[in-house]
Order: sequence, then C-alpha cells, then structure tokens
Amino acid sequence: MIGVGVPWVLGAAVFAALATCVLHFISVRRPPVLLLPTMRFLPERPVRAVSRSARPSDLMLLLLRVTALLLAGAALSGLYWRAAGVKHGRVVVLQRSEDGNIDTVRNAVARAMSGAFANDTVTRVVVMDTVARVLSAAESQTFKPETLSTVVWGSTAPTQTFSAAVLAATRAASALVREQRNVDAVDLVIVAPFVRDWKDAAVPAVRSTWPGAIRFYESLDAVDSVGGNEAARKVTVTLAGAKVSDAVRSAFEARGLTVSDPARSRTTSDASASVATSATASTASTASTASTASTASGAASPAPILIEWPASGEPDGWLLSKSVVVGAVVARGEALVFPFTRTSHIPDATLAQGRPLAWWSDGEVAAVEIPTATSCTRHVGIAVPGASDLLHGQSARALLMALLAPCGGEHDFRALSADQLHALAGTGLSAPASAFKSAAAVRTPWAALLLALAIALLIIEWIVRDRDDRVAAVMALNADNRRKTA
Amino acid sequence: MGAMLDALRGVRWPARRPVAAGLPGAHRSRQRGTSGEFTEYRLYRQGDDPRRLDWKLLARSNRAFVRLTDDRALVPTWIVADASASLAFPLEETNARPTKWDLLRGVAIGLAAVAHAGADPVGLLVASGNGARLTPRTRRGTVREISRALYETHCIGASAIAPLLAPLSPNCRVVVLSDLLGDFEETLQTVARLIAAGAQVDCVHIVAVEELELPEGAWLAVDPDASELAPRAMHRGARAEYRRAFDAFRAEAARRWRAAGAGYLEARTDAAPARLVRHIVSGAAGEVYAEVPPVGDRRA
Repeated sequence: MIGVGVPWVLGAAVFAALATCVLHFISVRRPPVLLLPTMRFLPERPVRAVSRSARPSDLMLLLLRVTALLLAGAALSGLYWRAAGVKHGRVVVLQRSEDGNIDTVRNAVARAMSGAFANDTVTRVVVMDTVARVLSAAESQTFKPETLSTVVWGSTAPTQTFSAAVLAATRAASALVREQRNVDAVDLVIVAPFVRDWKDAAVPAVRSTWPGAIRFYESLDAVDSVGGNEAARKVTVTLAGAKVSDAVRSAFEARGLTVSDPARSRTTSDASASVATSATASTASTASTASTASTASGAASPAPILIEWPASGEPDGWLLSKSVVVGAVVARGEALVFPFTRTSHIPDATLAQGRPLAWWSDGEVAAVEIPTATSCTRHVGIAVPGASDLLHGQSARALLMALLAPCGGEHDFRALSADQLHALAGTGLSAPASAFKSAAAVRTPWAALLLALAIALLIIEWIVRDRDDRVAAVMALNADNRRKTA
Repeated sequence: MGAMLDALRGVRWPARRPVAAGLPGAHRSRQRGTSGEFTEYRLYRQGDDPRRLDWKLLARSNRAFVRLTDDRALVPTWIVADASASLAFPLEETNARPTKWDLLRGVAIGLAAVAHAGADPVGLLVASGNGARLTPRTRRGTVREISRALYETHCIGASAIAPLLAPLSPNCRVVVLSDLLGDFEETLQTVARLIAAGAQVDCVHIVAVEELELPEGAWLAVDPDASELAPRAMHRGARAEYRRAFDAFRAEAARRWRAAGAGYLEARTDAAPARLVRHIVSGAAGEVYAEVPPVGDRRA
C-alpha cells in the first residue's frame, strides 16, 4: 500500500502537471505566416499570438514534462510503501495534581488507558512531573496506573499547564509516527487537574498546534474539585527565628497560628494563604482535611514554609547598616505606613536567589523568599515594636498575605468550567499522522531514485525542445527563402 | 483569353476629350483644320484665313462665315502594368478566383486589343518584374507581343511606376493597372503633371477579394513588397481595424485619383476582365468609372 508523507506536495505536483497539459492546449506561439500585400493596414501588435487547438501540441514534450513533474512531486512528498493494517496512535499525557487523591488519579489514568493497547492501537505515555518524560514503546506497554506513586509520581509540586502537556504530546506524537509508519491518526488524551492555573496564557497559540480533538480525564475527585479549593491551597507555615516580636507572634496567632516557643522553630497549624483574614477556627478543620487527604493519598505532607522574622529586623545573613527611619513598607501594592527603623539590608547574592515579597518605601527589599529543596524560607527585615498592634490593622493585611502565600506565589485552584474544557477539547477527528511528519522524516529511499529520474527526464525534455527549435528555425528559414524566391 | 477577346470584338475606345494633332486616326482632334469633314460655321473674325470663307454663303446672306472642319487623330496608348511582388496574391488560387496579376494581365490584354482594334498604337510598360517595355505600335501582332510579355513577367520586387510615367509624352493615353501599394504619392504627382499637359490617364486599382475578407484564425502577415518590415500579427480584434484602414485607403485613393482628373476603377479579382474592360473603355469624357460589381451580381 502506497503512503504519502506530505500529500500537499504531491497535490501541487499534480496541479502543475495539469497546468502544463492546459498550457499545451492553450499555447502562445508564433502563428503561421501569410503573405499579405496590405499588411500595412494591420494594427501593430506583438507577433506572438495566443492560439488554441483541440489537440495538445508537442505530445512528446508534454509527456516528458508531466512525467518529470509527477516524479519530482512523488519524490518530494515522501512516497513510501506502507504495510497493510493501518493503526491508530494514542498519546496519553499524565499530569499530577496538587494534593490530588492518588486513587482518583489512578482511576482517571486507567480510564484514559482503556483500549490503549488493542491490536489496532499504538500508545505512548507521557508522564509530566518535574519534567515531561516520554515513555518508550516498551515502557508504555508495561505502564500500569498502580505504579504511579512509586515510579513517576514525585512529591514536589511542579507547574503543570495545558501548554506543557500539548507540547510534550506533540513531541511524543512525532516520535510515535516516526517509529510506526502505519499510524494514520493520533489521539491525544490528557489526565490532569483542570484548575484555572492549569490554563496558562499560551493556551490559544499552543492549542492550534494540535490538529485534532483532545480528550480530557480529570485527576481530581469530585470532593477535591468542588469543595477542595481550600484544601488545594493549604500551606504549612512555621514562624522561626530568635526573638520573635510579640506583635508578630500575636498577629500570627490572631490568624490561627500558635507560636509556643519563639526560641525554637515550631510547626503550627495550617493557615489559609489567600484568605488569611478569615482563617480563624475553621483553619484547623480545613488543615485537618488536607492532612487527612495527604495521608490517604500516601503522599508526603507538604513541607512547612519557614518565616524568619526577628524582632530586631535583622535576619540571619543580612548585612547591618546605618539605622534609618523609613516611612512605609509596600507589599502586594498596599503600603503599611509606620516610622520603621531599618538597621539591615539583604545582600545582593541572597537577593539574586530569592523572590522579593515586600519593599521599603525607598525601594529597598524588606522581605524575600528563598526557595529550598522542598519548600521555601522567608526572611523579613522589618522591625516591629513589641507593644505595637500595627500588624493587627487592615493596612497590614497585604503584608501578612504575602508572607503566608504558598511558595512561589498564589495559585488559582478553582476548577475550570465545562465550557472552558469543551473549548479546549475542540471538535473533529483525531490529528492526522501526516501533521507530525517532518520533511526529513518523510524522506524515503525512493526519493533519490525518483528525483534522479525526474532530472533525467528534464534533460531529455531540454534536448527534444532544442531539437524542435532547430527544426522550426530551419523551416522558417526555408519558408523565408521560398517567399523571397516567389 | 481567346474568349475574352471575342467578347471585346467590336468594342471601341474613344478618347474622353479631343486629342492633340497627330496622324490621322479615329479620335477627334483639337486641331480645326482643312479636312473634308465639315463641322460648323463661325462668323469671320479678323485674322481668320480668308481662304476658309464660304463665299457662296456670303453671297446669299451678305454675311461672312468661316467653314470649320474637324481633324481625326491617333492616340498612342500606354498600358502600364505593376508587376511588383504584391500582385502575386494570393499565392494559391482561392475559390477559383485569379490572382491580382492574373486579373491585371487579362485587363491589360483586353485594353490592348480594344485600342489596337481602333487603330491606335499600343505599348506596354511593366513596372518591376522583368521591366518589359514595348513602344506603342499599330502593326499586327502587337497584342500578341504584349500578351507574351505579360505572360513572361514574374511579379517580384517593389513597385516603381512613377519613373516609367515621367518620360512619357503628354499626347497619349495611359492606363495604370496597379494595386497602388507601391509609390503611390510619386505616381499620383506624375500622373497629375501628365494630365495637366493633356494626357488621358486611367487607373485600374486591382484589389484581391482575399484582401477584403481576411482568412480566419491567427496568423502572421508579411509584406511581400517589403520583407524587411517587421511582420504583424492578425487576430480577432485586428480584423475590424484592418478593414477600416483598408477601406479608408481605397476611398482616399479613389478621391485623389479622380481629383487629379484621372479615371479610377476598382477591380476586384472576382470580376470578369472583359467586363472591366468594357467599363473602362465606355467611360464618357470627363467622367469617372464606378466600381465594378462582382460577376454574379445581376443588378449591375
């Protein structure tokens, strides 16, 4: 069975051959010569005229040209023999969810893999954790959803997006089509948590690169996806460092944090990062839910975020500087106005590794987040008087929210609507395999032979055309001589 | 050819106006002499020859009259044939119609025969071709000589009629047979001078039907008279434009030849030579010839 790698190239060659045939019917040529004594009364026009005939002219040249064009088109379009038995390709992309129930994930994966290894289906699995890993054919064959937690499921929380999934799937589809030439179409199945953060800014551009419909399987169970937004954004905060100011301690305690011994770093209960002002008694219960979910899933508990906020405003590693009074601290675009005394500043090397969270009103960094292997540490260089209730006010809300946010910033874990998912899934059939074949991939051993044949035919065409031109010139010369003789 | 000559037997070709004095012939002369053929009386005027007074009439009427008589003279006739390459058109006879040269040859021989039958000396001038020149003669066999010369002529080269007309005496009759595609202006100027000097000039404009109705399709036209000119393409849009230009040329040629005082006749290749000859010779003095309709047109 003959397959074509790049059909449009073959189509263009066929079109060019048809155009050549038409041109042989409608040819611009020198018309026959007629002696006309009254030629002077004819308008002056070009001596070439368009003439149409019922039969194509120069049949030999036409045959050579059409054959050469078709051969060249076949060579460049990647013509190949394809074994009988067309197969269907499938790429399954697995993206882990934040605090997702592993059973839910396994069930979703099992549904996505259903029928993946039937006789007429070739499947590649792409597991996206910290990196996208395209499993080989053998690995995909032996892949079991039950092995998710032990094989590829990490404990970190990498950024998983739709764009990353499609790009990885495109890579896997190209490899699949390259290895399996009898694949005619490729299905894309994505198992992921369909939260709003999953849909990034590149979605419109990236979605257009996948030339077919996409099937989705959600890896968050119903509880997580409906009421689990709170659980999905739980963070564990530890207030650490010596000489924690009473004002700081009371501000955290007012938000559900209990700091029993400031001299030691102690793990406290969880707090809501994004809705810290409402995190009171309910915080403990939601934290318990999250903890239960983590336990049930078998995943490791989230590592605590360490906040170092010494009362002196001089975190470890910061450089002491001359005391200056600064009028405000800005976080999340809101200013906390107070005559703060600044006695230290963060070293440039430390700042280069971290992410600023708050700034002094003169532009200096007042708080910074330094990522660690599993979590992050936040250093705050703001000296708050012990007897002050500054952090209890509304104006301090933005600063505390910035400090209690998850590592790396806020995430939007609200579920995508069905309409949004439907728009992403698209309509139509599976992506054609030809869309994943590059020009190099479609090159076949026949290409060189076909191209050589086409070139040989073009050379013959040139010789025949040159011979015909000579004959025409001799005939014209003879006709001219006859005319002069007459 | 014999049939044509039979058809022209008995046809006379009188001069359109009195001719100059010459050998006695069939045409009325401008000279009023002493010949025996009385024409009219005229009152005596001072200076008249008294010998021409009609004394008997003077005795009867007591008035002096002079007897006037007419002279008859011959008119040398020149047949000027244009044998340029353009007359050999069409190359292959189409629809049994003769070429322009065939028609020209037939008309020329017919005119020569008619003139010779009127006892006028007939001569031949061939422009281009072999450049044959036969001085006007009245002896027997003149028409045959002219016919032979024309049949031995091949149409070749460009037309140059004016140099042949320039040295001619004005006391003659000239018939120019041409397609007027050569030295048109020079010929017309020379003809105008001849006519002013008293010559009688007729022009037979030879036009091929194929020149009026061009063949269909696209083809390339080459001028046989001037092969150095760039050929021109014939296509659908050019047909009407060509016909307009050619019609304008023919109308202009007729107007200018007639304005010069010459007779003008457009002879198409589908017309019978004998009929054309009759039209030419029957032209009244001072009038011009009408276009000869095709042979099949019975209304003409």
